[in-house]
Amino acid sequence: MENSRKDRAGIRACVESAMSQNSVERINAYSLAVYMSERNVIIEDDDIFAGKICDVNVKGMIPEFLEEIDSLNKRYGRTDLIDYIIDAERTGLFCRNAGDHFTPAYDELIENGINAQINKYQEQCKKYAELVRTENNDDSKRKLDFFESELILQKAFQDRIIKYGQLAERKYELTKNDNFKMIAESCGRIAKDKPVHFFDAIQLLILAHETVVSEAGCGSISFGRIDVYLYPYYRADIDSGYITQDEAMSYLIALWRKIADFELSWQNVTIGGCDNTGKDCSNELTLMCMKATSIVRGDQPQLSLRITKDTSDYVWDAAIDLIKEGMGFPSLFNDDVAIKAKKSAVVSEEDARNYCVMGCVELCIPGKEYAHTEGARLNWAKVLELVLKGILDGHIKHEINTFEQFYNIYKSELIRHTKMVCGFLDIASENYAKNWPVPFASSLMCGTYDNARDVTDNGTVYNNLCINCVGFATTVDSLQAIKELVYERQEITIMELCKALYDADDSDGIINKKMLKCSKYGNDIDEVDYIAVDLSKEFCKTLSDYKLKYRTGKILPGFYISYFHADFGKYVGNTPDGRDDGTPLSASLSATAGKDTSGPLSLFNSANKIDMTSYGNGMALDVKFLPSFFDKKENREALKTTIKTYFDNGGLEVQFNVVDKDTLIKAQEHPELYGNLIVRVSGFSAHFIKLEKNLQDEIIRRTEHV
Amino acid sequence: MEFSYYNRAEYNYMFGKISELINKGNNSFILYPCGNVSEMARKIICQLDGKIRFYIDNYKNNGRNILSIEEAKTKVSPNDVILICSTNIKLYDELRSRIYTAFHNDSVVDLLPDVAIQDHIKVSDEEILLDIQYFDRFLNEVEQDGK
Repeated sequence: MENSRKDRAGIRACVESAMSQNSVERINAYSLAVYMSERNVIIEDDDIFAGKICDVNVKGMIPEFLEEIDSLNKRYGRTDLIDYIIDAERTGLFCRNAGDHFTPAYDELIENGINAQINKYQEQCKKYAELVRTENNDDSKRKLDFFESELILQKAFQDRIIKYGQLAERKYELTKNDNFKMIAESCGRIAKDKPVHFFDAIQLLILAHETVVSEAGCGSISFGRIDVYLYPYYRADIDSGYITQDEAMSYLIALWRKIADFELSWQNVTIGGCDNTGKDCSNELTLMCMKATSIVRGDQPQLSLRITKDTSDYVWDAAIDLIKEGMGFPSLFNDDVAIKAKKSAVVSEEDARNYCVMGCVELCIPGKEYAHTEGARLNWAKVLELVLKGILDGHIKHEINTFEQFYNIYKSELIRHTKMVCGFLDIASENYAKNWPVPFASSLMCGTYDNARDVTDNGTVYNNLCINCVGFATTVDSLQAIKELVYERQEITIMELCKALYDADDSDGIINKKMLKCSKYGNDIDEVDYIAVDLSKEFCKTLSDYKLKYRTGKILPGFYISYFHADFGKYVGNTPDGRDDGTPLSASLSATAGKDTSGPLSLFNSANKIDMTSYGNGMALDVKFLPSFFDKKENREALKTTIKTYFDNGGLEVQFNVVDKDTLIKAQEHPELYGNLIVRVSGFSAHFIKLEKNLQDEIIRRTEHV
Repeated sequence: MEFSYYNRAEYNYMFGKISELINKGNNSFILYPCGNVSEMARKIICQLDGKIRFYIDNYKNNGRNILSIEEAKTKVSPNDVILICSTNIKLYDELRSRIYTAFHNDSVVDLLPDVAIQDHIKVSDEEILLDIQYFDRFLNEVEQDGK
């Protein structure tokens, strides 16, 4: 690359070359500091706040899978485990997107301000510089390295805020636009001290988020409980008459627009829920956040509403109104179950009550949990395919005369693959910490200061890992079809089934029709749901029992898929539930698209049989309604009651699509007319016309409840 | 399978290039290799009503919709456009030479020929070194203050 033209990766290469004797942590810190110093500050003419979350380039900063594998090979040599994982990734059994995916302690930054951060790191730098001079031991050197890395990034962050303030000042002088004056004054305040006003708190939040994203990338870094930590500033400004409610609303809308500018990301905002004593703490901002989503109509932020037993009718009604608008927002989370799920991940009661939703639907303790939540996805349907192909080609030689025998083979294979992935995650997380530390993000995570460790290196309070299941209902339905067709009704042998699936021995489609007619998950049929319950339990137990060597936390299960049901589906041939080769697998914990034909209550009842209190990394359940359903007030009330019952019976999360099939088909045919059509994919919402066609088709196929 | 970053400048650049191809009547695409950039390209092609026939990948091919270069040779038709979707600096030359060796140059379009197309940051080595010195000085002042 040319000397005169360095991008983010180029800056890092140059810093690495200039500081080759330094630690990776320090090189990363200097690279980001240089990037922040050199990157232009831009304030658009219609900006209400300074900061650009959308324009950040982190290429070269986050490892791709093969880069991680190369690094692991160098560190450990080529092992069977690494060979296994390369093969698993290549064949669509496993995938990984490590790093990122956490919620910084924005609340603490706003509460304490930047100067408090700078002061505390300065103290440590002075202390350890002295210790290095007098004792010169490795531990002091390591800690000095850590604290210096943190400190220069606080300095770079402060400088950047000052620059934004200076630019706003210049723009004000030129235009006399009061917006610029407000930005200038606010940046002046927050560069030195803690925020005073609601505007300041939002301004600091945007600039801190811009910087975290600059360092850690992707876009699943989330905002946490905005309505809780911004509320004191909102309340004070409203009570003192400093701002009106309309002004406050305009600031929230401006924040939403900044977030929405970062397309193709999964930045979550959590609202509602209980406080650390268990009391519902929804407030005016909870309602205003929902209104902002309705006005901005972007696919960002992903809006998640925590529901308690005491959630007010105002909040419920606003939520149902927003759901009716069809963007898939807000997704609803049941505090009772979510808090239990976090406690199962050894999170304290107080911290569990403060959980937020991160990325798609991951449950996360803001500022205290770093869990590589997308660190592994395991394709359950692929495991089944490997078992069936093993039977077909004779690799599996067990006698399989009963469904129990078949089922146990599948289960033992699922557990074996799960344990292999657990083992990989542990060594990969250690290697990640050594090679890709994130010092600025670490400064916004509790515990890193006391431990003097990067957040990737077990630095924070909860250092978990996660594995997410993909293809849940496809697998459950497939096992049920094998049970019915092969072992109960004995209409075909297991070998005939395998040949029909993989050797084109079903060209007339007769066996496929039989498969499609078998019972499906999502219809409140105990026999099928038992398989769902049992597999979920075995998977969660396997993760819970797994002893990590490097990581101090636990491995948490997740049952959500982002868009990976479509990607993984490309790697899976025909399945025994009647699904065709290459088409999307089922989504999250939802029924297979179009197969929950007994109504939403039956879907909820099926899901309610599964124990979700150990889903520490969250889950998603998709339900699709026709828009006309919401026309009648009694239907809206019935929906509220149904959700409450689902939650009372142990449901953790539910999310809605409110759109009819015709609209979706028209959007496929004329995408230019449907640029604003947002749908819930699963776990996240997105512009329908930007989705891959097979993903669009999967959403169209989903059952419409009326 | 990963989708770990997004860059607006690249997105806009790719959008323009793919739109241009489609407007010229080329709407059947093969994406090479299968990764972050091809994921962005896929979204753009879907949006513009183009068609993706399959992917080519030297490493993760499954014989169905992700093919090796060898497998792809027999499947590429004259109407297909093979899009190079990579900004990987380490593999920049290798990736391109493999595909240009296997297929006629006219059927291959490099979506991102310039690795560093981000125009919002242009910084020289000298400026970077000055920045490093600035932060070093700051740290020295802090630590001298503690003596």
